[in-house]
Formats: sequence, structure tokens, C-alpha cells
Amino acid sequence: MASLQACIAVARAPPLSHSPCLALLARALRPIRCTLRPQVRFLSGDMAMDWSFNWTAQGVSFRRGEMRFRVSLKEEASVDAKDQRVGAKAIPKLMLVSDLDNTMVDHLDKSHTGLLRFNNLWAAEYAHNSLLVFSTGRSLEKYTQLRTQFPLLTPALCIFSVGTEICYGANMEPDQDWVNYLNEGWNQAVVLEEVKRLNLRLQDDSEIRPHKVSCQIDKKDATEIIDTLSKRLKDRGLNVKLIFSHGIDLDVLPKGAGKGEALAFLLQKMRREGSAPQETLVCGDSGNDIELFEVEGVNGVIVGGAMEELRQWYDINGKHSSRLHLAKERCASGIVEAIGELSLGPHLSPFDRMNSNGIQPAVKASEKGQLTPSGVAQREVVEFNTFFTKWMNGEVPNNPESFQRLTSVIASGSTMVYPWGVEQSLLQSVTSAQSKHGLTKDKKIRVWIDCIQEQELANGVLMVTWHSWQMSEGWCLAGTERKGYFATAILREKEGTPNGVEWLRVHETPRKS
Amino acid sequence: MEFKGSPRLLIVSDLDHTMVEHGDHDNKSLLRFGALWQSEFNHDSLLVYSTGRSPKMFADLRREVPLLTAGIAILSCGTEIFYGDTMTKDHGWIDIISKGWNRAAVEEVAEEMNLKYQCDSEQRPHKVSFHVRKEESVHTMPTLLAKLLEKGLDIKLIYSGGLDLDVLPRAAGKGQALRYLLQKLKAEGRVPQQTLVCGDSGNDQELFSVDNVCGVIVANAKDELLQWHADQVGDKSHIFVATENCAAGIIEAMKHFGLEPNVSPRDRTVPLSVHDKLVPKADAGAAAREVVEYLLLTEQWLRGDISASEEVFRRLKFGLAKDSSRVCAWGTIDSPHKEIENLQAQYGSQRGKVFHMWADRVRSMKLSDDSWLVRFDKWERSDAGLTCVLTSAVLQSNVEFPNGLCWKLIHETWLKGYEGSAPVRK
Repeated sequence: MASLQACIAVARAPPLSHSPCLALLARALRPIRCTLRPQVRFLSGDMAMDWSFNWTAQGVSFRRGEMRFRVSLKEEASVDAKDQRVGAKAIPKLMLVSDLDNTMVDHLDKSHTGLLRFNNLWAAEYAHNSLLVFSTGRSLEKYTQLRTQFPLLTPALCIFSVGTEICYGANMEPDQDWVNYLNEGWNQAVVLEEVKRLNLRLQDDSEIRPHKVSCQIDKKDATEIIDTLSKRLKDRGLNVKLIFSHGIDLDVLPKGAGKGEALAFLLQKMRREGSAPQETLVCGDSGNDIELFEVEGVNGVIVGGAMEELRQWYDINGKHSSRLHLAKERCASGIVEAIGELSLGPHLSPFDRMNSNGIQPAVKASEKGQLTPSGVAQREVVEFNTFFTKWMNGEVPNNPESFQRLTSVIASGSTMVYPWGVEQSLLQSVTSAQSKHGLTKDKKIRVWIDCIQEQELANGVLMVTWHSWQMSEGWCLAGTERKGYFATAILREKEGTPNGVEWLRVHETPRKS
Repeated sequence: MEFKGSPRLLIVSDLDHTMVEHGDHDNKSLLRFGALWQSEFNHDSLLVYSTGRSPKMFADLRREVPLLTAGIAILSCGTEIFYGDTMTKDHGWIDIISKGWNRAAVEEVAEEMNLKYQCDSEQRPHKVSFHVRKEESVHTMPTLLAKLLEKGLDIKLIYSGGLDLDVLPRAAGKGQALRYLLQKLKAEGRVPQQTLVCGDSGNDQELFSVDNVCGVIVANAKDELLQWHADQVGDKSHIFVATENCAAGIIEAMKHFGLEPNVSPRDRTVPLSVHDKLVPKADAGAAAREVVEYLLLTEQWLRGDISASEEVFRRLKFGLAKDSSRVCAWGTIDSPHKEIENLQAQYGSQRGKVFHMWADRVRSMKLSDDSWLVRFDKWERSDAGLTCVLTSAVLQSNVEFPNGLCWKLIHETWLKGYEGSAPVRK
């Protein structure tokens, strides 16, 4: 037997616990010798348990009806923490679930100010204890395209194609559970047939997904088409729902699908894992976001510039809810506004606190009790970068006292490795920037920080890693002028500094493009 | 100078034919010395080069051979002193040697005597250099000296290698520069505990005459220096004539004078993968040792110089923390614990080729009792050329491992001018 793979996924069996599964596995594998190293996942109904076993043997693959066996073999038993568990950290303080087009992303704002402001706030105050989720009608392909055009952060998870696909982490691993659930009462081929029968115009290929069929219809025919199609699909034994939005898009989805359902599914999963967020904020601007607002227990923001259909819904259903906010500001700025109005946490980013009036300090933990002790290094990283950039852009006053904000947090003897391959004293290179106030005022630089993580190495010594992105104003499509860097810094507690930490070492490498 | 205290050991060495053996393309002894210095001395000792080479020729040499970065570089026959990684020039020294010096006057006399200049890069503000054949030197030198003295200059002539003639201010020179440095260190309260000077030719004589130093004349030294040594009367036990060439002779001298430790990681008879005692807690030197040893072991693995045993590979793999991460110089992030599998497959891939890896500027900083930040340059010479990666690494205590440490984070950036490329994966 050559090295084949054995796969196990129990789709709809009663919950299996660890030992019976192993026994089953051992029995199945005894006559053969197994190897290789795929993933072990025991999926049962709505439950996902992931286990990796490490030993070397020789693998085999076999199928039995709907059960596929996949076994992962390494050298020691370990729980693979990164894949299907939603909340990898402890209980998230806030889970922010946002639509993209015209909610997080403002297609009219070429300066990306709102989005950058949000990114800045998120990295400084929320990245260490909260979850960012994008929920979009876009498919993976169109989402990837959007990412090259706008400065979007990397979310913990992404819900695509109007809640029909849930993907985790940087590798976009799909949630198999969700797939199995959506398969009930759905048949894509049948839907396509009926859509064709009615002569409806299909959207691009990338918008036709395993659990979603999208077409475009005229607003005036909408009601009639929706009624007819619904009936026809019901007659054919399917259990679907139809969503009309933006005055033109019609999506046909499994009944169980939808942005709201996907969110509810996630929350349920998290509750079972004991990692449900303390607060949830959903953000939207159009018809297919209504379901998000209707999920139990969530807060919501309808951003400025939202579509008619959502405003109507708000007037009827949402006006009196203390958990719902109709923002004045557009898009991502509206989200920031809502965080403040709904008291979900800090809403003043370093970006907003540093302007031509000087630097306003962050709200201290003792004052509001909202800031957790960890996360100070992350805030320091974001503040430092923000202030430095604003200094070069001439967006903060040119006075030596405020420049001290930078020099006072650098430990003596600390060094930095710059991405162009030079190592310098950190203090010296920052000091030399003092005379460069306003150097980039005619072509301002915009910087944002993504994937920021902090780890305590020892008492009072912190290691922070992040991805930083830099672009000049006027950057647009294709992102050719966007530069990315991987950074690592070591910081240490020090009294008397703005965030209680000082810098020991920074190291940056250009990201492979 | 990076290190601020009183050096445990100060080594002042000439370069060509002393630290650097030009006949050895493998640069074996230079690498042996380098590994010893980086793992045991860089954190509290001072390495000084004293060479006739000009700044340009010095930079060239560093590209040709695996030469360590020195704390201080005394170049151009002791007429230029540069400090640290940034090569900051010492202006106080310039003031001293400018007295009684007039470059234009030297050029005039040279014109008169029709002397042959060395190339441009060797002509420096306080050094004028010529080529004079051995048989002519007997006549040329006294004449030149007389003429320059007539002009009121306070100069000296140094003839070495049977060809090179340098005209320098009398206050300058390798010996004077060293005395000046030692005085400076003394004034700063940083007197070295031990000083070892190393040379091979005429212009190194002065080094050996400085007070309170030990000296080594390498086995391949020139006649003029050996003769000078033979001619010295009185107690010359502070000078050791080595039996080995170049840097190997320097290591030999360290053994002779009892300067410890003096066994290079490259010379250890007990393989690196085996450790003879458990280190209870990582100390100041452990992080540096771990860096040097890890690189060395990697080199040996790729060259096939060491057995392809599980044991060796274990040492490499499990020295990396399971959750270790690395930002690679070519701009991606990977997990070293997993990526090491690629290394395993490459055993012996560099056998028979020019291939060396070495660490330079290894500096470790204690972050806590259990964690260290180490900064170093990782150099690699291979068929593809010479590349260097500026590296930051965080190491954490782990008593199971040879130096009591395991690697947690590695962050790399190509050194400007020495960029390589991402490895090709099948």
C-alpha cells in the first residue's frame, strides 16, 4: 500500500467522544499500516473536536458511504488549536461583525480616512482582546480583489457570499459543519434550472457559489419574481430563501443560510466552547444586513449613507432600541462613532487624539475601568507609529515638547534594524527625524497596523509582532505603491511613560510582494 | 564601542598574513578564531585590527574572507583610527599626528627622487606610499629621510614586505596608535586585563614594544620580524613565536599564555550534539555560545562534515521551541520547528563546494532570568555568493538543551549590499 490518506469526518452521527473514536480508529488501522500527516477532525452534528495524533505508520484511504476517514499522524499528541475553534483567545471583549461594501469600505473616499481611523483604533485598543469578523455578500475572489484596493485589516474570520461560507484565519479554512448544515434542502443545480426558466440574468461566475445563486433583476419586477421563484423552488422540494438588495441583486440561498444565521451559528458555537464574546456589534448598510441586526443580544450600527431599505427597517423596528445606533458619519467612521455612542469601549484612536491641536492622552484604565492591563504594548506600538507618521506629515504641531513623546520612550542602547538592511541606534534615528517635521506634507504617508500580537516573555518584558503597511496618499487600485513589513519589537515596563513601557529593540523586514 | 566596561582581553592584530591566511581558500583558521571570539569573548573583550590597509582595501578584505567586525580598526599603518560598527573616525588622533606633517612636501621630494607611487586608494591624508625594490631600498631610504628632515618634517619611514615603503608622521604608526588607545582606555577606567598583540612583518614591530603586552609572531612571519625578534636582548618571554600560521598561531598563543577559554567550537573533539553536563541556568555567555554552535552545526550538516545521525538532527530540531516563529529575510513568516524538516533533507548538499556560515557581532541582552535577546549577523558564503542577514533572536531557558536555551523567535533582514534570495523549494 502506497502512502495514501485516510480521512474521517462523521457528518451526522451522534456525538462521539475521544476514547470510542480512538478505539474505532485503532481497530480500523490495525490491519494496515498508516502514515502521513493530514488533520484529524471528529465532526459530529454541530460539534467540532479537533485532535492530532503523531506517530509514523503507513496510511491508507478508504470510504464507507458518507464517512471518510482522515488521520493525522505526528510524534506526540497535541491539540491543534488554530483551525476550527472560533475564539482562539480567552473570552473576547467585543466581536465586531461588519459588512464590507459601503459599511467598512467607503467607495467614495479615496483618502480612506474612515477606514484608516478604524484600523488605528482597532489595532491600538481591540486587537488584543476582541474579534474582527467581516460578513460580506462578496465571494472569496471578489473579497481578495477588494483587499488589494482598500486598506483592510485581517479579520479573525470571514463570512462570504451572504452567509453561505464561513472561513477561519489567514488560510481561509472553511467551516465544514456549516457546509453540512447548508446542504439540507438545497440543490444548486435545481436552483440554476429554475432561474434559467424564468430568464433571469445571472451574475458573474465568481458570484455563483456552492450554496448561493445570484442574479440581477429589475426593481419593478422584484416582488413578482420573488413570489414565483419561491413557489417553484418549494414545489421542487427545496427549502430556500430569497434576498433582494441594493435595488438589483437577488440571492437564492439555503433557508438556513444568511448573514444572520451564520452569525447565530457562530455565537452558538462559541458559547459551547466557552468563548462567547461579552459584546457583539454588527455593522451594516443594506438589505442583506437586516438579519444581522435581528440576531439576539447584539448591538448594531447602521452607518451613515446606508441604503433606503435598511433605513426603513430601522424606522419601523429599530428606533427605540438602546442597542442600535443610526450613525451620522459614513462607513467606518460611523462604526467608530457607534462604539462610542453604545459605550462598547474606547473610541478615540491615536489617529484621532493626535492632530493639529496636539496630543490628547488616552483614557487611563483607572478612570474608566475599560482598559485591560495587557494590550499596553500594542497601544504603544500604534501610538508611536501614528505619532511618527503624523510628525513627518506635519499633522501635529512642530514643538520639541511633543516630540519628546517619541524620544522619552526609547531605552538607552536600544537599536533598530530597518527593512532596507541597516542597523542603527533607535534613539539616534528617531532624534534625527525631529528636524524632518512636515517632510511628507505634500504627499502624506498613511500607515496601518495589522495582526498585532503581544506576548509576555518575562515579568515586565513584552514581545510584540505585527504587520505594517504603508502607502502614499493617492494610492488606489492594484496597490502597487503599497508596501508591507513584518515587525518585531521588544518592550519593557517603565514608569512615567505614556503607556508604561519603553522600547528595547525593533526589527523590520519587507514583506514578500 | 559596543561593550562599555574594562575588556577582559584586548587583542590587537595585523590582518594580512597574521589574522588572514591568503593561501587558504577555506579560511579554516580564521573561521576557528571567529567562532571562538564570538562565542566566548565578544561580550566582554575587545578586538582591534591594526593594518597597513587603507579603508577601501580594508572593506575589500572583509568581502573576500570571513573577517569579524572589530571593535576598533587602526588603518593605514596607524594613521587612521575608526571605532565600532559605524566606523567613527578619531579626530583627536588626527590632531596628534598632524604635527610636523606636510603631505605636499613629501610629494615634492617624491617627485624629485622619481619614486613610484602605490595605487590611489593607498594614498591617505597622513600616509604616502611607494613601491621600492629591495635592492634599491638600501640607498633610497636614507636619502628620502634626509631630504624630508631637511624640509623640517617630523616623519618616519617603514619598509615592509620587501617592496612597500610608507612615509608617515613620526607620531603615527601601529605602536603609537596602540599606545594612544591604551591611554584612552586607561583614562576611561577601562584598562584591559590582558593584551595580546599579533603580527608577521616589519610594520608590526612597534606593537611588540608597547608596555605590558603579550605578543605572538605567527609561524609564517617575515624574516625582517623574525630577525628583529632574534636581535632583541633581555627578557623576551612576553613574545611567543608560534608554530602555526596566521589565526591558528593566534589561538596557539592564547593557549601558551593561558588566555581562556581557548578551544574554538570548531575544534571541539566532543561533537556539539552531545553535551556533557546539564546547564542549570543559562548565563551571560550561553546565548552567544548557542548562536555560534547552532550556526556551526547547521554548516556541518549541510557540508556533510558531521554524521547524518538522528541525534544530531534532534539537537537542531528540538533546540527550536515548538511555537517558535521566524520572519525570514525574504519576507515570509514560517515556523522553524516545522521548516527544519527541509534542512534535514539537505544533508550534505554543500559537500565539496565552497560553503561556510559564521556569526559576527554576537551581542546578547538579558531580558529576564529566563529569556535573552541576541543580535547577530549571520553570514553565508556559497556558490551563490556572499550574503548576510541581520538577525534578532529571542532565546528562552530550557535546561534540556546544551546551552540551557531554546530558540523562540528569529527575525531576519538582509544586510544592505549582501542580499540573497529565497530558497527554492521543490
